[in-house]
Formats: sequence, C-alpha cells, structure tokens
Amino acid sequence: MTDLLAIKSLSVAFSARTGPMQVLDAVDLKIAAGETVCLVGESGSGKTATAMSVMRLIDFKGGAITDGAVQFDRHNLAALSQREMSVLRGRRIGLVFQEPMTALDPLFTVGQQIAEVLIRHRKLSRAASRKAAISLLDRVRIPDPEQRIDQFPHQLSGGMRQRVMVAIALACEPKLLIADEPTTALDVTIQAQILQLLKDIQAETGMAMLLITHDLGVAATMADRVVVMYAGRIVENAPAATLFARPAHPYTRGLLRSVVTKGLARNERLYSIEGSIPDLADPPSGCRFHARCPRAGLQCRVAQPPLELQGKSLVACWRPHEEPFTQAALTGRVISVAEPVRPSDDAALARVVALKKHYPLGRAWLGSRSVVRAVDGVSLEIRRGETLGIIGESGSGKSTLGRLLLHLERPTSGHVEFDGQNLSDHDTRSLRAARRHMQMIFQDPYGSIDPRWSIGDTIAEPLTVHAKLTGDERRQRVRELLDQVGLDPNWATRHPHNLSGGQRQRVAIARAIALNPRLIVADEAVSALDVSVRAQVINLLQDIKARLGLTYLFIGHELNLVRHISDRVGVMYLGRLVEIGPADAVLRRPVHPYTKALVAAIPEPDPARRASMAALDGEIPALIAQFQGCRFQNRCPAASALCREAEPELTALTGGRAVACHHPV
Amino acid sequence: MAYVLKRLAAAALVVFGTVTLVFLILYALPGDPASLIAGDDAPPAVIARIRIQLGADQPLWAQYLYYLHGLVTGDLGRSFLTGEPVFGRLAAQLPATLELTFLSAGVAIVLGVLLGVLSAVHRGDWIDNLIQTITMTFTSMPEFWRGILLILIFSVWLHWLPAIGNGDLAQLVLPVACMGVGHAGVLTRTVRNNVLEVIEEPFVATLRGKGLLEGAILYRHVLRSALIPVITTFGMLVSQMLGGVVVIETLFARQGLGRIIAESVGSKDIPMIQGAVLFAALLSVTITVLVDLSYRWIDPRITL
Repeated sequence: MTDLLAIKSLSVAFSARTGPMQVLDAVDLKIAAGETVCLVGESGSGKTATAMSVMRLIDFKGGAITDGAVQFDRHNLAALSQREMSVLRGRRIGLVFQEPMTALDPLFTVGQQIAEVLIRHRKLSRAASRKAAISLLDRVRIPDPEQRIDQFPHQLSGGMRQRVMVAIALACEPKLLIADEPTTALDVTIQAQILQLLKDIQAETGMAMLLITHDLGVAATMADRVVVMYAGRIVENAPAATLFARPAHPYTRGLLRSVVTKGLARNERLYSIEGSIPDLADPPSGCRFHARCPRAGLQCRVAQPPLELQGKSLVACWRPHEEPFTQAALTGRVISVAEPVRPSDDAALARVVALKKHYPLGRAWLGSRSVVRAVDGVSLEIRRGETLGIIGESGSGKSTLGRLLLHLERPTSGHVEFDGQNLSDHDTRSLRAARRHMQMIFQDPYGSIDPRWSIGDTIAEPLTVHAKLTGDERRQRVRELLDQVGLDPNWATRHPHNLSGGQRQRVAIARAIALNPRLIVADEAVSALDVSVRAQVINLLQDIKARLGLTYLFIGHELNLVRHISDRVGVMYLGRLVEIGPADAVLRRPVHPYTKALVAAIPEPDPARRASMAALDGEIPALIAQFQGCRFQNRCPAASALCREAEPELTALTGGRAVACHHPV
Repeated sequence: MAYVLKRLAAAALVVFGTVTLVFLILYALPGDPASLIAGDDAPPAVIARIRIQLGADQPLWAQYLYYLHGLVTGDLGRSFLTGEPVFGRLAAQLPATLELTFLSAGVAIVLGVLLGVLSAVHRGDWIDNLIQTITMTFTSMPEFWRGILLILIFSVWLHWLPAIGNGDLAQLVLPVACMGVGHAGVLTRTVRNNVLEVIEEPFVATLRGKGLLEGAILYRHVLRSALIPVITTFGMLVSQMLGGVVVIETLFARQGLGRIIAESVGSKDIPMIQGAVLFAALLSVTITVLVDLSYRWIDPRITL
C-alpha cells in the first residue's frame, strides 16, 4: 500500500514569552490511501498540533515547523508557502473541526459557505455551485436541502451544523479528511449518526481519514490504526484490534483503564493515571511518561525510548507490556470504595411536583405567545443520601430541571419541596437562607470561576455570604476545604489562571461544599475533563459524598459514568421524565425505547463490538407547540396509533422502576 | 417590516420629546424676547404689542400647541432678528452642512476601515505602531486645534488650499479633513481591535481549511463580522459630527446649520435656535434608525 500521507520526524514549536515551547517532538506517522487513523491522547498531547501542522494552520497560531517533513502526494507540505498550501486545503485535504457552534461563519448562509469552496477550487459558476451545494447537503443527509441551503448556521442544530461542516470538507472529494474531535460536542445519538455518515462516505469515495479524538470508544468504532500521543510524542502506533487487545505502552493501558465501560461494577473506585500532563516548556528527561508510569526504571528517566516495532505495534517504551489486556484485568486492579452512606430512611430530601418551566419565544404581539417547554410536568423525588443521575440529549430539559431544583429560576407551575418546605413559599431572604443547603457545580471550570479572584476568595465567598466567621476562621476553613479536595492549602492566595481544568473543578467542588450543604447539583461537572482527570474528580465526588453524607443530583450525558456514580437514574426527553429507576436496572436493561437507543449509541472501547453501534434516527425537536401523543413517537421504532393519540403517563413497574411508554420493551 | 414600523414610531417619539424639551428650555430661559426684539429703550407699549404679536401673552399650553401646529405645517416661525421665515433659512443652509458632514463621515469610515485592517494585519510591527501613533495624535487633539493647525500649514504656510468660505470643492478640503481625519482615528482603533478579535474565532480556521485566500477571508468574512460594533461607533460619530459643525463652520467661516446655531444663540433668536435644533435632532434620529436597521442587514442572527 502506498502512503498517502507520511509525516517524518516532525517537530513543531510555539514561541511563548518564556521561550520556545516544543509541542511536537519528532513525530512519525503514515496514513495509507483509504485508511482511517485515529490520533488519541489527553489535552496537551499534541494531537491537534499534529493535524494543524499537516494543514499548515499552525502558522496562524504562532507555531512553526522546526524540523521534519510532511509528504503528501508528491508535495512536502512543511516546505510549501501558505499560498501553495491554500490550493491543497479544501481540495485535496478536507477539514472538520470540533465546535459546530462556532466553526461556521454566522453571517453567511450554509449554502454560501459550501459554494465558496466550489467556486474557489472547482471554478464553478454561482448557479452551478448552488446546485452542487444542494446535492452535497443531500449527501450528508440533511432533510429538505433546498430550504436548508438558504438558512444561517444559527437556524440549524449542532448535529446539522456538523453535517454542513462535513459537506464543506467533502465538496471537492478530498483524498484525506482530517477531523479534529468532530463529535465531541454532540450528543451520543448524534455522534453515532455523524460517525456513521463519515464511514459511509469513506466507503463511497475511498478517502483516508485522520480522526482526532479523546474518546477511545470513538477510536475503537472508527479506526484501522490507532496512534497514541503523550506530551508531544507518539508512544504507541498499532492496528486497532491489536491496540485494544494488547496495549503495549503503560500510558495506553492507563487510558484504557480510565474509561468507564459497561462492564465496570457500580461504586467501584475509578482507575486514574497518577499525576498530570507535564509542562511542555520544560519537558521531563528520558521517557516523558516516566514520572507517572508504574513500571518506570532508571533507564526510563535518562534515555528517550525509540519508537520500535514490537509484534504488530510500534511502541516507544523501555518496558512495554506483552500480556493481553482484558476487562478482568481492569476490575481486578480497582480498589473498592467504602460502602456509601445508605439512606437511613427513605424520606425524600427534595421533591419535585408537576414542575413546568416554559420560556417565552420572543415578544408577543397579539394573542398567546409561543413558548419553549423546557421542563413540562416532571415529578420526582431525591432521597436522602442518594445520587440521582439525570440523562437525556441536549434540549431534553435536564439542566433546566437542575436550576429549578435550586430555585435559581422560578417554575412556571408546579413546585419544589426541599426538606419538607415548599421553596415557592419562601421570600427572597428565607430562600437565600435555604440555599446554603443546596449548592451547584457547573460544567465549565473555566467559565464558572472568576479569573480575577484568588482561589481562596472564590472558595470563601459562600462563607462570607452565609456564615459569620472571623477572617482567621475563614482562612482556616479555606485551607481545610482545599485539603479535602486534594489541593495544596497554600494555594489559597493563587489565581486560577495557572490551574488545569481538573484543578479548577476541584476548586469549584471546594466552593460547593464550603457550607456543608445537603444537596449538590452537579451539571455535567466532569464533561469538560480528560479521561484520567475525570476519573480523579469522580472519585473525589464519591469520597466527599461518603464523608459528608451528601445527596447528589448528577446531570450528565456519558451514560456509563452516570450509571457508575448514581444510585438511581432518570431519563428525560423533551421536558418529560420517560424512565426512572435503579441505575443498573435502567441502563443495563432499559425499558423505554429512548433509553435503549441512548445506551446503544455509546461507542465501547472494543473494536470487536463495533456492530452494536445503532444510530437513533432524527434529532430532538424544539418543542414549541402543544404536542399530541407521545413526544418520542417520530423517532420511536415501536410507535403505534395509540402513541400518536395519547401521551403515556409515568407508570410504576416492579423494582422501584417507572416508565412512560405505551409499548415498553 | 413590523420592526421597521416600531423603530420609526420610537424615532418619532424621540423627535417629539426633543421638540418639547427645546420648547420648554427656551421658555424657561431668563430674558424677554419681546423686549429683545424691541430694543433696549423701547416704550412699554411697543413691547406689549410685540408680545401680543408673538403670542407670548398666551398661557404656556396655548403657546405650545401653537408651536406644534406650526411644526406640522412646516411653519417654524420667523426670525426675531431678520423677520425671515426660519424654515426657509434653515432649508437653504442645510445642504452645506450635509455636504460637510457626509463627506467627513465618508472620509472617516474609508480611512478608518483601511487603516484599521492594515493595522490589524500587521499587528505589532512598525506599520501598526505608526498607524496607532498617528491616529492617537489626531484623535487626542481638540477639533478646533486640529483646524487651526490645518489652516496654518496648508493655507498660511503652503498656500495650497483656501482656509475659509463655501463654494468650490477646494474650500471643502480642510474642514472635511479636520472632521474626517479626527474621527477616522477612533474608527481605526475600533476596526483594528474587532478584526483582531474576530480573526481568532474558530470559523476563521474553517475558512482557511477550505483553502480560501487570506484576502477573501479578511475582506469577505472577518471584516463583515468586525463591522457590527464599528457601525455602532460610526453612527455615534456622525451624530457627534453634526454637533461638531458648530465649531468647524465657525472656524472655517462656512455657511451652515452650525453657524446659524452659533449666531442665533448669541443673539437669542429663539425661533431660529428651535428650528436648528429640530433639524439636527431629525438628522441624528435618522442616522440612528439607519444604523439600527443596518445591523439586521449585516447580521441575520439579530431578530429585532
């Protein structure tokens, strides 16, 4: 097989104020025509830098190729001028980015943005390019392409935008498609659809793909070959089947173990790689992984291991693993956490009764205004000491439910009871007093912490508001809290800009537990973190819960993770609770067709189980009008005439489960 | 369309408010217009007669209604000084002021966008520094000082351009340069900062990934996004320029609304001031409405 792309000993450096920072160090990588190579690793490993260097977009970010070559189709991309490069970009190499929300120009219609490539590279006329754009939209399976082509990006859903991105990348039938985390921001169901689309198109055109992902499940689903990067170097490069069955590098094993799989038993402590990714401005000597490696020896500290063939794999390790890797090895090594505080009585800590939240859409002129029914009649209870997980696609209303529970927003109708008291009866002052028992942890650790405040001030703020402490007492409490979340107590005076995402999220947790609350709502609290860091934070949340006897509402979209941390799980769709029950029961033996589809859409890190990835058709609609019948009917394989007429009520089953479906599986 | 109507209704309300406010302020000012017209030594009988002629003996609400009625019929009263109809006088002066303002605005926006983009593209190197320094110098100078310098250099020393009067284009060059260049400085900075902000957006990376040329990316995509805040600034600048004509027209001895305002204030020619303020308010409101409407034309996400 001839190589389509051959990266040879590629080194890339960014100029930083502190001196050059080498983000890639002698990277070697080959992609054959028609092959799919997945580049995996945590943030800062150099995956994106590799892709951006191939595209030579690294130049615009202040980076420069300092050594090596990128051979593509008789060109050395590393030596081309930007002008010569622009002829290849979009024509021979297509590019798909992660952010479907921001990767398209908001001021141009999707049609214009697709046509632009055709006009630039294929010299089509305006009319011809429009026709071609319509057929491209059809090809990426966007319904009604004739109407969609004149819409602007903000009028499309995230999944649709990502399809448009794919259409742009495919417009000139490139030989190589580079996709940088193309599905990371999408729901699992939409992720499955996009991955399927990429596979289908690859089968039709025979293009090669360089797919960058942090999700080993996605890699297992897509890759012919997987390349693992760590701190700017390739540590392992192997055929997908080999990599997942016999990962040779300790880092690869660590990553695989950090993944929360279907097989992992609940409440077990998650495996995580010790330490964090090194600073590339001052990289470690020898093997860059040695400080975190359980097998490291003297040689690893002083000498850099070469990337050498071992069996079918290329591995850069002095002491590679040779034994096969199995799920059993995984469960055998995890340490079990103490049995969590069992609910002493089954009394509910919080109860939500017929809760509704409708947001008005724009300003009404005459008559009734149209509304978005974000939460539309949800009743549930959260028991003392339990973790209730809430899952569902974006737009299902799970975040709104979390905010309503803390009364950060007033419900349109229905009410929230906390500890037997109706929160709607409180006035502003008593509500504030009640809030000290309810805290929230948000998804984005970069947005939820004020960069101008010191860490200590951030954590002390709830204490200042609610507790009457002297300055010394407050400082002492902050030190205790930092210690509890595993941070150095001396960091109180630091500012968050030097902290990693995981450390920031620890600060957010310290702030949330500062007042010894009873309920914590964690809204996608670990979704923005790398796998190994995510495991650390989940373990921390579990420890703190056991120690302080907390109750959690854990909102998330990674089903295995939610199952792992939750006692019970509720599934939401379009503002309604469609299924609820014990976590293992709901997610291992789902009853509602929607839950079943969600579970089926999770990509497992096992190439042998690829076939199980079944995509749920369609997307979650924007629910504006009153709906007749079951809300899931249009996407449901089991929908019948009854489903179109009557909305199913949440009905109790055995084993503490309940489901809202006319035809439970 | 509903939006346009709503916007126009709001604009009409602003004009009405301005008119009322101007009426009230001038009414509340000390000094009796009748004795002003009659002259210092006029007998009380003459002053009383003039007062009746003016309608100043009527109660406030009647004067106000009379004034509003006049506005609707295009009658803005007569000048206290010359007795000529205010509307005619202002209408005759309007073109000169519009010419000056719009030419200056044109110079400001063209220069501002060109220099701003140039500055952004060459961020950090000598071109950027040079542009920043020059625009900073011009912007921080008071307008009248800028004007005096221009007259000194180009008229007094070099004898290239006439310093005063209106008529031919040569006479427009210095006043337009004085207003336009100063405001171009503000726009340059706004354009530069916004272009630099937009160029970091992820969609620009997508455009590069599509193989578009840098020029197309910059002028077709980046500039358009960067323009939204620039237009807000531009709208405010044009309104400011309408105020600035008072200084510029006096300095360069030009005819126009600004000159009339300056003169009428000095001589307490109330109908003339009212009329001129009304004209200026109308122009200002028109510009604001145009700016608001242009947002939607540029940015489809804005649903007003």
